[in-house]
Amino acid sequence: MLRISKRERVLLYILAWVVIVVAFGIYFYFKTEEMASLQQKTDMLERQMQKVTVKSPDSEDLQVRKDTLVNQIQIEKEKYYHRDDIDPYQFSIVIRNLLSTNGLTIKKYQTIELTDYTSLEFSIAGGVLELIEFLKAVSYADKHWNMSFLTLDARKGDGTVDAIFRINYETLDE
Amino acid sequence: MTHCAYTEITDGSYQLYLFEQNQPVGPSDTFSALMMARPDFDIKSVELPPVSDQDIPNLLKFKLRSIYPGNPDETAFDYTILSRKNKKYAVLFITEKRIIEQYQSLSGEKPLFLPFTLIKPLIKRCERENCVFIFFHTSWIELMLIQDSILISSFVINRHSSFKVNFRKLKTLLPDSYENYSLVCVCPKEEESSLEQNIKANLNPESSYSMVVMEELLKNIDRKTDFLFSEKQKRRSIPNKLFMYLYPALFLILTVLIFNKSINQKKTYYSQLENRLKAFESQTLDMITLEKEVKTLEDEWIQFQKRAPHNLFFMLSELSRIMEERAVITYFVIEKDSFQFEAIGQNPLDLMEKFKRNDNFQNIKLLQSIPVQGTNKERFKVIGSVKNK
Repeated sequence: MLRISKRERVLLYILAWVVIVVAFGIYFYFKTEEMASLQQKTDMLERQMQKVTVKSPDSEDLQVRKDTLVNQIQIEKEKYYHRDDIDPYQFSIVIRNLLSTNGLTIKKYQTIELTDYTSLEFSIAGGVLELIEFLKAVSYADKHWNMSFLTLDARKGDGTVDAIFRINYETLDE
Repeated sequence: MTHCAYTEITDGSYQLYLFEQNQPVGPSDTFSALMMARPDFDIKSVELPPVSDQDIPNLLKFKLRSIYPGNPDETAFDYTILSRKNKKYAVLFITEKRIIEQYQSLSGEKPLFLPFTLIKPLIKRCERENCVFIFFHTSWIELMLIQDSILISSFVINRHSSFKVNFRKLKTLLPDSYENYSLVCVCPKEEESSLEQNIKANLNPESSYSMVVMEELLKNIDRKTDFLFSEKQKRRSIPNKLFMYLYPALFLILTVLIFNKSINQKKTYYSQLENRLKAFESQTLDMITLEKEVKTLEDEWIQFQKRAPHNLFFMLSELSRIMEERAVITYFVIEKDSFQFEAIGQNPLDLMEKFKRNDNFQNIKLLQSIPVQGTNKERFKVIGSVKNK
């Protein structure tokens, strides 16, 4: 067995402690570096968090706004005809029936072919109130009916009116 | 450990008895520790020089040759350490190896002890005074002389049926000034009162004495008791020198652990922050998408509103409301947004002011106004357009 003197043993102890202390020193140095780096990153994240928290809009309001718009657009879309729903002749029948229902006399009606659509031109006569009722029915119809042209002539002064109007139905191109 | 047994020699062989019953029992019976017979042992007290705990057994083995006449190869001993004012003393329990082997065989490897083991905790109580412990057993009596918490000497005598005989023998073993010593008698509960009377009768009135019941001492026997001839216990002791290295090592390890824990806590917090930020980012991304969707829907809605036809009924109603009953429309034409009308009524200029204030119309102009003769009315023409929605 290797015999070592007391002096050698003391030196060995000192060496062992030096090694241990140096090892721990290195360990603490790297860990302190890691700690500092972590602190820096954490500070940065905390700052970002503050910014994000301040900027965030209210998602509930946006969702409500979106739902309202979707609903409104859906209702609006339903006011338009699809191509297969109706044709100018069927529409003529609808308008003619509406005029008759309101007690207005049709003097003449004709179709006018335009580039994108067909318009109907009606020449009618009748009471002012009846005409107003007809216009109300057209304006508040379930579907969009577009009266692009209207003349009213009440110059006779007998409570009747002569009117010429052009009307067409609106379609939605999808 | 309350079930302890003791031994008596009957017909040249050992017999086990339980303390509680004083009845012979077999080796297989339940008991926790065995009190060996004091007459089988020599007890010596040795002052120890300043040596490490590891070196004590060898030192005692060496000293044994000078204080015990037996053959070293056939001798077994154990010791317990007593300390007083930086001095250490070893109380040696010496016997023959074959006796110990017999006890170990009898006890079935259960812990062994001697009366001194029982009275050792009491020694500290009489630190300020010198004590004499007299341990009364059924067939023998042990006398232990304690000075300054150190066992000075221990003797054993065979017990005689007469107390006076026993006391006379004991007195020969006691120092001359024994009456200055505090006397502590340890005996079974059943003998306590009779022994106390005898002692009282034989001692000077100034002498102090106290009685200790053996059963009470036996109750104190537990795992921490300093049992004898137990190798396991001796191995368990940690050399003091080792603590010199253990404490700094422990300190370093604890420091590392605390440091690591602190870093881990920081890491956990960082990770939590990171996750929260990611969640926020994801939420923000959803918000941006939602905002875009809302914007698209708003644009679509505006397009729909622009495309929707004018409400002619509403427009004519508004015209009527503006003109009230002061004017009557005689002619009206509208094409797309632009309209023109002819009316008969009073003060058309005042009407123009009203048109300007109305949000539904724009670019309203009075084209012509001709007074109607014979009336205060005017025939006037107006042009304008409907405001875009």
